[in-house]
Amino acid sequence: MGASESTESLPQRDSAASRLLLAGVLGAVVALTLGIYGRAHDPASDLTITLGFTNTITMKVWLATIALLFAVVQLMSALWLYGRLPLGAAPSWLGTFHRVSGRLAFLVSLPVAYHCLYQLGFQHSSTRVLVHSILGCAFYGAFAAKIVIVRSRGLPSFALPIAGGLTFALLVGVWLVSGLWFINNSGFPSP
Amino acid sequence: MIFRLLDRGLTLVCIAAAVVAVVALFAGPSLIGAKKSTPAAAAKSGTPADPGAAVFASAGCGGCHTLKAAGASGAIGPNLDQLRPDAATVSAIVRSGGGPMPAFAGRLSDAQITAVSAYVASVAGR
Repeated sequence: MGASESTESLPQRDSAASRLLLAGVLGAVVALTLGIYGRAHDPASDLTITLGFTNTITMKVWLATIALLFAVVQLMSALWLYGRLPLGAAPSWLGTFHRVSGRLAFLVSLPVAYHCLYQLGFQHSSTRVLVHSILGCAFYGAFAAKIVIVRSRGLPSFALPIAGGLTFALLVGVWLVSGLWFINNSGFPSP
Repeated sequence: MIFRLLDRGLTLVCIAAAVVAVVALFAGPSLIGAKKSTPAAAAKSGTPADPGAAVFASAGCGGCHTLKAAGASGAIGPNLDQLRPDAATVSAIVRSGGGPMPAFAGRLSDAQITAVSAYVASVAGR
């Protein structure tokens, strides 16, 4: 029985390791591709995207902050799903609610990321800017890896919380060195 | 039920938005209705070749500042047409930064800073 279990679990472990490796490689490829694009691309000098806001920077600060709020919702709902909040059993709709908040966070982040990549590219004019560039690319890499992990079955139980936590941490980091930095310097812009 | 419908719809929207964003990165912002002006575009449109203008465009100054002569309408930083700064002021701010504006001393050469400062001082407000 023991020998049978061990012979059956070996391919499963190999498969899980392969999928984890795939997720990591995909995430790295996405992050590196964005970084290389940002360095190689000739930045636009005057790219205006407002989406109804007063100007581009206002749009970016608002959408980045909204994405951060959705990410906090993601974190709290994930903690509830994992039974880490003293709120009792998670309701049946919480899983779907968690996914919806994640999709909304991704959606509102896209115009911000697009403007950053197309208008500014990958820059290193200061430590803050370099950190922002690295974290921004890494966030979408982590997001891609998390999508692979969340869609995979039979992975170790630590994989999804680590991927989700890393994605959340990177988004918070990106916001701290851009959105919060701008708000500290110029105040929160009115929409 | 509402969440599930929203979830499915949003999944498709996310995939479509990601595809559009990637395509727009390579095809250009006109795909999503945004506007872009680069030194190459200025040259094609017959804009006089001024090294300062080229630096203004390539360094992304127009993303934050309005300068009519450069076709820039950024609204993050001061409106240069209204401010009409002299070359020394522009040079100092470009080198060291100011407020939310980053320092460009490490990104632009002395010649580029001199050129863009002279350019801004000569065309601002005109």
